[in-house]
Amino acid sequence: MGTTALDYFLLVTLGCLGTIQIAAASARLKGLSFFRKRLVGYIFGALVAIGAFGWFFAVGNRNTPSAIEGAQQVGMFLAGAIAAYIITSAVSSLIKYRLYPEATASHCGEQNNSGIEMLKETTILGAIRTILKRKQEDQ
Amino acid sequence: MSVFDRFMRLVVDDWFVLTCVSLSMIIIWLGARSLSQRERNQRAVWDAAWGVGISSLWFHLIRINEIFDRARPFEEHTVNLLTYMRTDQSFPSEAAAVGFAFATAIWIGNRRAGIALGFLAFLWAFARVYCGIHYPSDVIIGALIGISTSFLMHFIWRILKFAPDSFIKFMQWVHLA
Repeated sequence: MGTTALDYFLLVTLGCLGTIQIAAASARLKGLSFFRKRLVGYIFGALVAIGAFGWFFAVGNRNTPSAIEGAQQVGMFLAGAIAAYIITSAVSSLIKYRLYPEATASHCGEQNNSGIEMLKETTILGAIRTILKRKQEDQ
Repeated sequence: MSVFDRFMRLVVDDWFVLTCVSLSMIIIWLGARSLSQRERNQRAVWDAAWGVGISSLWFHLIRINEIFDRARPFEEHTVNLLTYMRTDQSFPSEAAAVGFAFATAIWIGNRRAGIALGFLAFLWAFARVYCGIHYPSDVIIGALIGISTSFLMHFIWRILKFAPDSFIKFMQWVHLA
């Protein structure tokens, strides 16, 4: 993997980290947000995303024949987005588990639907625990 | 180089607008407050992905640029070229097709986000002309290709509803939707 490709992967991962925080603040997804206050989430997300762009374009001249093909660019974007989602889930679960253990309790989000709607009340870790508990009860 | 030229040079490259638009897909996918709006947004992102994919296919599989074989403006005129020399044909513009395919698909599901993306697509298309790598007709026809492809994909997925439904259900199952 070339330097440009690696730089692009980093740009996308950091950009996605920032935009996920903005989206979490907007949709009130407490389980994905690193912060309790939504405004802090917006500011943090914007700073990370803008910072990533600033770094990417400051490091080198990007206005050159592309080092990576279009299809490869799409693949790297998806990989970066998935990496950012995994990092966000892990970090927010860890923060909530350490600071607000009630947010990861298995009873949280029980009354809600599946998917990210559950993350309005619980973290990914809490959601997984809820699903496992439901499966155990079904059996 | 003036500030405006520098800005156009940033916008015209292969990274800036495409990455901004792709990142905005994440906000559109995750960021809606109500369940119904989120569902509409997620369908719009699905349509956008297909609209962009199929728009690109016209260029890479059917190679419509090679059919028309039009030279770039910097090859035929004296222009203030602000970016590197592209070696492929000028007509129509793939960048305009991709930008407007994104914007149209999102506009169908979410008017405000669609207009914002439409502005970005317009800016990208304008920069391509300003920097000397496309004629205005290249970007206009490119935009029409993107817009019509997105509408076509939207209607196809309205008929084959089970496909986006299954995809969104799967994404819900893995807590991504």
